[in-house]
Amino acid sequence: MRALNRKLLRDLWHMKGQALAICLVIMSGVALFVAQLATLDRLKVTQQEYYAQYRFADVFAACKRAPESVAGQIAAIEGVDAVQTRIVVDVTLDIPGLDEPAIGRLVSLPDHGRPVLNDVHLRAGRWPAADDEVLANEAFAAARGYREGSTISALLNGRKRVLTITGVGLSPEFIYSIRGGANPLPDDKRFGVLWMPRRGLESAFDMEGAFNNVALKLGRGASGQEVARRLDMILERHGGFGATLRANQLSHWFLNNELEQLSRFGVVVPLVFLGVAAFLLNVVLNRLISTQREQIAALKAFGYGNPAIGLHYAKLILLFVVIGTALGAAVGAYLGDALVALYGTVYRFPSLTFALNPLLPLAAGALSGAACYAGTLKAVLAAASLPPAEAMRPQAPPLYRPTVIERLGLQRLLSQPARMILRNLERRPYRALLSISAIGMAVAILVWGFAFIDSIWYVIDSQEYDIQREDITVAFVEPRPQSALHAVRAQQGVLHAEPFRSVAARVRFEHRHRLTGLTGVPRGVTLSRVVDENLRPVAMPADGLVLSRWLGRALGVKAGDSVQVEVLEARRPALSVPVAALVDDFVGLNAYMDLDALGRLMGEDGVISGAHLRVDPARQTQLYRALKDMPAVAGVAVKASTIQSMRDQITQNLMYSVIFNIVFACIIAFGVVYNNARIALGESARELASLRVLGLTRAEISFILLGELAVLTVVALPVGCVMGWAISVATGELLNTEVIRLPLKISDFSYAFGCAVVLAASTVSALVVRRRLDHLDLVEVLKSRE
Amino acid sequence: MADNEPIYVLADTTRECVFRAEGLTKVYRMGEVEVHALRGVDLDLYQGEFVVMLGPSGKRQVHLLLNILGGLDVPSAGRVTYRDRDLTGAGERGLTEYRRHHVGFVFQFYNLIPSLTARENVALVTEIARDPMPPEDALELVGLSHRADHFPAQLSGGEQQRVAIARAIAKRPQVLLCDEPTGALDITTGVVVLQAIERVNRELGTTTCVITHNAAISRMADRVVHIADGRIARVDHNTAKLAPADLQW
Repeated sequence: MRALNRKLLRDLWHMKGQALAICLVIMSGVALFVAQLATLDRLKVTQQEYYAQYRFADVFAACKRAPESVAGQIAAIEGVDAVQTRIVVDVTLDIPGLDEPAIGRLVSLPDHGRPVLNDVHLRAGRWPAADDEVLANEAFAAARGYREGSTISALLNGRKRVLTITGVGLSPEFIYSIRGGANPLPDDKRFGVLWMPRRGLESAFDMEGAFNNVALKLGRGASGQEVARRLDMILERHGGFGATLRANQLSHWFLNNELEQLSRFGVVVPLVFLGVAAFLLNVVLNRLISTQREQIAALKAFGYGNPAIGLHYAKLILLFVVIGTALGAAVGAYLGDALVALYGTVYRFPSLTFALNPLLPLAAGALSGAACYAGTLKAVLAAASLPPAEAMRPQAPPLYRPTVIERLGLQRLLSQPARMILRNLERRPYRALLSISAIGMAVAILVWGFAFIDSIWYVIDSQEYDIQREDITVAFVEPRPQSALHAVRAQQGVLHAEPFRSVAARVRFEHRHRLTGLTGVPRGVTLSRVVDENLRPVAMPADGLVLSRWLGRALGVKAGDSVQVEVLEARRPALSVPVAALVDDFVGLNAYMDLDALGRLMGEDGVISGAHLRVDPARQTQLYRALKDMPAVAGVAVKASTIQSMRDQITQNLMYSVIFNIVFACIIAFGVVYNNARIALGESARELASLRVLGLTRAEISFILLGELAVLTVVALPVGCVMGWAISVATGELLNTEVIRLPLKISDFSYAFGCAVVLAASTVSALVVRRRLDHLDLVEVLKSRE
Repeated sequence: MADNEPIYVLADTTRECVFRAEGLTKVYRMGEVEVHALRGVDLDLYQGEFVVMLGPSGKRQVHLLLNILGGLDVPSAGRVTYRDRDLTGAGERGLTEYRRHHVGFVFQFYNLIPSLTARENVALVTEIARDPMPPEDALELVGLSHRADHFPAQLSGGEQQRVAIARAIAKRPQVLLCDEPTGALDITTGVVVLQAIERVNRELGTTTCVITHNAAISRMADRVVHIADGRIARVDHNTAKLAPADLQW
C-alpha cells in the first residue's frame, strides 16, 4: 500500500469515534432508502405477476339481479376481452366464541372450471365441490384458526346454513381484505371472504340463471371510462350500482396508495440523513485539513501535486461513503426483509419474498456519494490549492469580536466563559446554524413520526366519542318500513335506537362524477352524527346535501352549487340537489341529507336501511344473539370491537416505526453533538488545558467546552419542534386521500418526548466527549504549539 | 564542581521558605526506554526572591521541575512542600485548588484565549480568585492599559506575553512560575516582558521562578540554579542584579 493511502487509513482510525458517528448517519439514510425501495420493488413486481397470473379484472360492477344473457351484451361492448359474472353477497356469520356477529362475503366460483377473471389461488385444501362447501380467504382463516373441515354457520337469505371449509384461498381482488365503509383497516376476525360454488349461491338467494356482480377484462388500448359508461347503461335496467374501474377497486387502491407513500418517503427521508451526513463531513474535513496544514505543505514540498492532495482527501470521503453505504445496504436488507414480512401480514399474496436488487445499494451509494461530496468539495479543493509556503505557517489566529449582546451593552450579564461560548458561536454562524438545523432535524423526525400517530388517534377517538356514538349498527337486508325500527327497539337490551337510510348514488357535477353512499340522517340525531373539523355537530338542512369536503373537491363543487344525484337503488330517482355545506370529515367520500328529505327524493315514506343503537352492556350478548337470528338483519357492526381492532392493529404496526424513529433520531443527535464536541475539543484542547493550569476546575472547563453545544441544543429543540410541525403540515397533505383524511394534531407530549429523546442523546454524546477532559495533558500545553 | 559531590544549598534563615523540595526524582517512559529526568533534587525557594533556573537546552529536566512545583505533575519519589502544604500527596482536587489560589503561570506561547480580549483573559482568572486585583490594574502593571479591549489576534507577541503575565499575577499569587517567557520573542520584546516580570517581583514581592535556556537572563536573578543531568549542578548568588534593559543576548 502506498504511504499516502496508509496515512488515510490511520487518519480514519485516529478519528474513529467521529467516523463511526458519521458512518451511522450515512448508514441510516442508505438503510431506509434500500429497505423502502427494495420493499416497493418487491411489492410492485409481486403485484404485477399476481394480477397477470390470476387475471385481475379491470372493471367491476354490481347490480341487483341480471339474467345471465346480459353477459353476452356486456361481452359485446367494444374493448371488452373477457367477462366473469358472479354472485356476491354479504351475510352474517355466527362464529362460536364471538358473540358479536361477523360478516362473510360470499363470492361465487363457476360450477365448472376456474374463474375467468379474479381467479383464486388455492393455498391449502381442495376446491369446494358441494353446495355448502367454501374456500376461506387466508387472512380470515388465519385470524380465526380455520382449517380444512372447519364449519361456519351463516345466515343465507334468512336461513341458517352450516358451511364447511374445504380449503384456504387468496385472490388479487382481496389482497387487502376490507369490507368497505368507515373502517379502512382489515378486521380479519370479523370479515372474511368465502368462495362458494355458484350453484349453492343461486339456490340460496333465488338467483338461478342470474348474476349480481360482474368483472371485465379490457383489451389493449380500450378506454375504461367508456366501457364503464356502456356497462352502466346495460345494467341500469337491472339495478346497477355503478361500475368501478380497477383504480378505485378497494384492495387495489389501498395497495397502490401504500406503494405511492413508499416511493415518496423512500427517497425523501434518506435525503434528510444524507444531508446531515454531508454537513458533518464538511465540519470534520475542514478541521482535519486545518490540523494537517504542515503535512500538506511537506507533501507538496516533496513534490506531490495539487491533484494528488485533492485526491487524497477525496479518497477519505470515499471511505466514509463506502463504509456507510455497505453498512446501510446490510441493515437495509435486514430491515427490508422485516418490512416485506410485515407487509405480507396485511397485504396477502400467494408468495411475497424479499430480494435485493443489486442496483439499489449502488444507487444508494451514488446518492450518498453525491451528498457527501457536495458537502466537502470546497474543503477538498481548498486543501488541494493551498500554497505550500502558506501551509508551512500556522493558520492565522481566528478573529473574534464582541457579540451582539455585548454591543448592546449587556456584557455585565456574561461571565468570561459565557463570552467565550457566545463569541465562538458568532464567529461561525453558518456552522452554528447548520448544527441547530441538524439537531433540530432529529427532533423534527420524532415530532413528525408522532404527529402521524397523534393524528390517527385523533381520528379514532373522534370516531369513537364524537361521531359514532352508537354501540352497534344494524343493517337490514332490504330497506324496511319504519315499523322495523320498532321491532329492533323492542329487543331486550336496546336502550335507544335511531334510524338511518343509506343508498348508493352517483353524484355528478359538470363532467365529473363519483360513486358514493348517500345517507339520510334523522332530525335531532344523537348517535351517528356528522361533525365538522372541530367536532361540532353539523345540522342537516331541510333540503340539500352536505358533502365531504373531499367529495366537493373531487367534483369541483362549492356550497351553493347544485349537483345531479343519481340514486342507484329502488326507483332510481335522478334529481338536481343543492349543496348546502361541505364538511371536513375523516373517512370516505360521503353525502348526507336530512332523513325525510331523502325519503322525499326517493319517493318513499319512512323507509330505513338500518338503525344505530345504544345498548345495555349487561344484555349485549343476548342482544347480539337475537339480532344474528333476525332474518331481516344483514349485518351487525359492534363499534367497540371494530375500534378496538383498529387500535390494536395500529399499535402493532406503529410500534416498529416509533422504535425506528427513536433510533434514527438518536443517531442524528449523536452524530451531530459528538462530532461538534470532538471538534470543539480539538480546537480548544490547548486553551482548556491552559485554563486548567491557571486553576480552573474540570467542571469549569467542561462548561466552556459543552456550553456551546448546550446552547445549540437548547436552541435546536424549539427549532426542531417547528421543523417537525412544518414537515408534518407539508407531508400531511400527501397522506390525505379520498379514503381517509388525517387532520394534523400534534400533542404536547409528542413535542416534549421528541425534545426529551434528543436532549438525552445529546447529553450522553457530550458526556462521552467530556470524559476526555479528564485526560487533558496539562504539561503538554507548556511545551509547544499545537 | 564534580557531579557526585553533594550539593549544599545555604539555608537562608532570614527569609521564609516558600517551597521545599527534598530528594525529587522523576522517571518517565518514552517509548521503550525509562528516562531518569530528575535524580534527587533538593531545593528551597524563599519568599520574594527571583530565581532563574537554567537547564541544558533541548532537555526537559528543568521543565519537569517547574511542573512539579506548579502542581501540574507529581514526582516519582521525594517530597515537595509549599509552605506547610504537601504537594506530593495533594491529589487532583488539591492541586487544582493550589493552582487556582497560589500560583501564577506564564507560558512560553502565552496560551491566551483567542475569543477573549486582554481584559477578559485576565478577568477569566480574577473571577475565580479569592482576592484579585482589578484586571485593569494587572494590565497597568505590565503597561498594557491602552490595549485592554484588544483581542489576542490584534496584539503583538510581546504584548500577548505581557497579557499572560497580567493574567498570571492578577490573582496576587504567592508564586509566579514562568516557563521560558521570552522563548518565542526577539530581544527587544523579550526585555519588555522581563521588565514586567521584574516589576511584579519587586513591587508585589511575588516569589518568582523563571526557567530558561538563555543564560543571559540569569543575570537579573537573586539566585541562579543550574540543572544538569537531573541534578542541581550549581547555585550562584548574584551580588549585583542587572536590570532587564541591561541584559544582552
